[in-house]
Amino acid sequence: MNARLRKRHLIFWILILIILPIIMIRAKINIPQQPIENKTYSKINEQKPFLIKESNDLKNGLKFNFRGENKNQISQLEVILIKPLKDASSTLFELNYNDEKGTFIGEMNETGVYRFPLKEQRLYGVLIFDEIKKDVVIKKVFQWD
Amino acid sequence: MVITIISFFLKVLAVYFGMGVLFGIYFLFIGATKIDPLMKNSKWIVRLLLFPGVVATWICLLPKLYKK
Amino acid sequence: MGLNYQLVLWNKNKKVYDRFILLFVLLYLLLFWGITLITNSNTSLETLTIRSSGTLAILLLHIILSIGPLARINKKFLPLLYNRRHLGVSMFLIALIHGGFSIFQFHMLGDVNPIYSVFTSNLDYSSLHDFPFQVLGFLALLILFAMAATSHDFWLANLSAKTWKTLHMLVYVAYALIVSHVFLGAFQQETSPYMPVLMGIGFVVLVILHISAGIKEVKKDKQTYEASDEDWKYVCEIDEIEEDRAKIFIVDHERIAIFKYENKLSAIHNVCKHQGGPLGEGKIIDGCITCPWHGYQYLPQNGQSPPPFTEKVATYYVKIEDKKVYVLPKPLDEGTEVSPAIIES
Repeated sequence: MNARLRKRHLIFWILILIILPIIMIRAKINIPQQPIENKTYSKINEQKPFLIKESNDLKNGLKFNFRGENKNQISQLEVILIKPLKDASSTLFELNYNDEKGTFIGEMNETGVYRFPLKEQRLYGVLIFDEIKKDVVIKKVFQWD
Repeated sequence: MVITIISFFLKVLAVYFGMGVLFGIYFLFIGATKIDPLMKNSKWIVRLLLFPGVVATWICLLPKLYKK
Repeated sequence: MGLNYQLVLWNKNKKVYDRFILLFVLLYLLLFWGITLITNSNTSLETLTIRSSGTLAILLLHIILSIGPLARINKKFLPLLYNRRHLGVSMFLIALIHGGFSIFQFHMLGDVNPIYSVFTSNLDYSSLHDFPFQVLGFLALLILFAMAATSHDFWLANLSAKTWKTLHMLVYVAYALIVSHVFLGAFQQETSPYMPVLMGIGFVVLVILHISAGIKEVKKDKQTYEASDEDWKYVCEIDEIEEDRAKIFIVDHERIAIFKYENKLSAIHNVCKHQGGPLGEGKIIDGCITCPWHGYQYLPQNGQSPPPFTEKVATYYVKIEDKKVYVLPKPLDEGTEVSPAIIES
């Protein structure tokens, strides 16, 4: 190490001292507090009909909202992912009455709000499936009156 | 525009490392002793150890080879 | 220093050092895997590998970056410096496992070249929350690869000193890229505050260490003499220099080491030709000045490595008057023979 190198080290550390804290702080304060409202995908219904029913699985960081014109016309399943799922890519399926994987609903990965059109009015339940590991991640059965 | 820049950068990287591999093979069999005479008395496995470095820095070794 | 290149110039210290590295790595992985599987048994093997290797690589990088300034602040840390390159290569290999598994997990399953996918699967460079953080990690890995691949003595000899040093100072760029990779990547999904706080503490510790060491060295640099042809500079009393050891003086921001041996004094440039080690902190062994870092040797009277080796350092005129030591600060050409000053009893 000579004087010239010491100077170069100093320059690097001054730059690090200025730039990195800016990145670290801005990265943390820019994290959205709520799941992002506008995280919609091409196949997902952008409309937000009335909330008919709520069903939560907060332990897994999930909220399920059924939306529609009225309680007899439920047209949308809104899934709010509060915590990221452990698996990078997860698919949502209907859960049929045999507790097995039914019709494909849609895909989810990061935290956010997902809205899926529904064919079946009152879903028995849903199943989140990991396509890579071919494994069931979460099963949720809904209680209807 | 971003995709163009990225594609160009990755192509340059691929070409650089591709040429590095070719130079590395040359280094393994012939070039080592030409670049540094001390390699004559060194075991062949040392050349294998140096191979990744040759791939990474072949462009700095070329002038040395040229001078020899 | 040798007649050929070897894979590793093993000695007892290196073997102990490497055993410590291995033990540390194994212990860390065991603890990480154990705690993760106990608290969350659903975690997949790939996720576990990615996280454990990523966090371990970052921890090792912090240790590596601390060693330099620690050794400057307190000589007790010098042994950590001698084999730092093994630590660096280990850290790169662990980072490579992290990078490799991540590319496999997230970019291999499509019909696009995985490296291309790393760069193009997310193009949102304008967003902080969705920033393509994988690109930052990939670039850091490239730098670490170049450094690990050129850590052997062959590269010190065959890349110019300027090239080698420039390449290895990119470790600071790699550090910045890795911190950004983590803060713009994993920490965007991290709900607990502990990990960001830990990284922040790591950053603060490194800054404090480097600045403290820098201040200490700058203070030494300020105790400087100006080099001139005829201006002998008083440096110390003869008795201040221990037998077979040296004292270091600063001249024009460069350092001169004055060695005492066999009732003689000789002065050479303090910086070893191998990796810039402080020759003045070494000692005379078998009549040769021996660098404390890696054992490179120089004859005190001419600054030349003993044949058949060819390294040379600059020498200086030194004289003794009334038990006071004087040095002519203008360096002579590297390898110039200078009659040592004789210590009269």
